[in-house]
Amino acid sequence: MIQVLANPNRFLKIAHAILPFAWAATALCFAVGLYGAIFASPADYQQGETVRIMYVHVPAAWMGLFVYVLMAIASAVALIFRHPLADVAAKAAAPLGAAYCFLALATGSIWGKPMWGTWWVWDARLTSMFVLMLLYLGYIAIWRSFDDPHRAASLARVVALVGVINIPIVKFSVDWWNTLHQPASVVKMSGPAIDPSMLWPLLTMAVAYTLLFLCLHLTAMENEIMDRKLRNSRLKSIEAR
Amino acid sequence: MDWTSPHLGFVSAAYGVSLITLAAIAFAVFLRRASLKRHLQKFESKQGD
Repeated sequence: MIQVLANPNRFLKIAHAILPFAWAATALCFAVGLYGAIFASPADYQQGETVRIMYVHVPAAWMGLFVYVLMAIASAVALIFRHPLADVAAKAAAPLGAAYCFLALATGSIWGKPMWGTWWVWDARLTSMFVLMLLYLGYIAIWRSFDDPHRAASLARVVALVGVINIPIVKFSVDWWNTLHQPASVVKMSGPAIDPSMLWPLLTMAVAYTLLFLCLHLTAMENEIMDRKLRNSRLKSIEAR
Repeated sequence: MDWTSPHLGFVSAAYGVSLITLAAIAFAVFLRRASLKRHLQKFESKQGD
């Protein structure tokens, strides 16, 4: 499969076939997920209506972690197999991951004010998530700092691979340290500790966020392929003069 | 949903920030796509001349 996608034209053909269905599924999941989050799910007995922030906060945090892992895998594939689209995939994913990470921090902060009485605390979960945001920004900055894309790619791969160490720190920070942030209640060994009436909108929103990422990532990868094609064509025309 | 909740402002803010951020990133991706397509077409038509 990886080899099949190595050809950019073949990849674009597959992406164009997938995208209309993916956009339709995204819209449907957002419609159902938002209905569940705002209207169908009950208020929490302790948090009241603020629990509804969870439906946009938790999927954003999951996506922030997932996209970084995806970037690290793509960087490893680029480093080991020299796959022509692996760097493209990692580079295109970074701004999307940064947006999700920002959303997790911003919506978490908005939830924190009425529930904790503060917008921000430097506890292990929030700090490690903030470090993840900095890693995303650093990764994006590296691609923008070099004129030579090969040099940028080499350094960006290292940052993505070294930075992935932060992912288990984010995930297990609530278990390893005493944090104000609550421990995991969905992704845990003993199964979700959340009522089904709240779980289904949460999972539907998570699917919607994932599908949105798929749509935007494929489009951003197409942009990157076009950008490289344009750059190569310009270089060839300059050399031909 | 209790529309009289004192925390409605926080909930609205969280959904608003989410909507604006996701819409902005999608807009940026499609804006770049349109710009690249235009540049590519311009370059190809120049090469054709």
